[in-house]
Amino acid sequence: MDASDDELVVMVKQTGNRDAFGELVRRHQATVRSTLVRLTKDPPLADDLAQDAFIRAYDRIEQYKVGRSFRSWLGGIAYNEYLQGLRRIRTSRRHLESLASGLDDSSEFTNVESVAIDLDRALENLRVEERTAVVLSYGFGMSHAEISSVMKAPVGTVKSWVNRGKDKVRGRLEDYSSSRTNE
Amino acid sequence: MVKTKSEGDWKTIPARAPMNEETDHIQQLFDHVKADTSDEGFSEQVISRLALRQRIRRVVLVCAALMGILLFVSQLLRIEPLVVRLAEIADGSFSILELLGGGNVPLLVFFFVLVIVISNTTMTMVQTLRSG
Repeated sequence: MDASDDELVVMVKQTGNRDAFGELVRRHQATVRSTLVRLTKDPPLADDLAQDAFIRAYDRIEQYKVGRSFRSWLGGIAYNEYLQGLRRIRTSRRHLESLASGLDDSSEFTNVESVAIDLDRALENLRVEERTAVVLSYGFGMSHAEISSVMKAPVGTVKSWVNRGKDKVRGRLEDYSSSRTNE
Repeated sequence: MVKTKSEGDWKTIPARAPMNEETDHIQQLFDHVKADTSDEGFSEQVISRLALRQRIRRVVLVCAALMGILLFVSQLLRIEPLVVRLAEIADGSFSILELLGGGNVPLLVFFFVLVIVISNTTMTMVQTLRSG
């Protein structure tokens, strides 16, 4: 299907076309799922939240204004699902522990997995607001204004969270990179 | 650049080059991790959940409408409260046979329609859950 996101949304709005919505899900599932994994650090839970986010998006599709970024709009919904799922996240920390225990032998991981682990470890060192702002910015491609809207914080604060978080992540990634080189 | 295998195809991905040589290394990492997230039936699951939810919603709406109509009709025909009648049937002080012999046609029709609605609703719900 070559239609743009907005054209698909119009089809869903007009006829409730589930095929068109399915195409939107296929296009954006990787973004939503991988970004929620960065926030939750729990892939199965991230998938559950992503499903809920898409269903919520279908219910609220009338609220989407054609012309703005569908991905960012969806990101706002996914972030709200994440906030609602925080209680579940707290009770499923065991997954994080199992992930951390497996970090010692990184030779078993594929390149993509080790990139994901490096990224998650780097994000882990950020304050919650910084991590959320960085993930929303890079994961969903949200602008500072959009992040400010979903996180309900002033734009200036969001900018500083993103910049500080970015610097910290860069620093950590450099550390990982140089420690691997030394090995 | 490093070669890696993703979704069955070998592809080249950015290596861990020094940060100052990259425009935005973090964005590349995010994109890279995202590119490795394959669908694996995720979108089908979302669509089937949507379809199931819509079907259940439709069944519930139809049931609610039918029950509303039945209650309205029962009020019109001044039939005794349904709950009282059902309780009497349950404790054995009233039987369907009495109903048949008593000649209470409106009540008989009411129970007949009620049985049809309940059985039909049950069948529809079972079919919906099976197909979901």
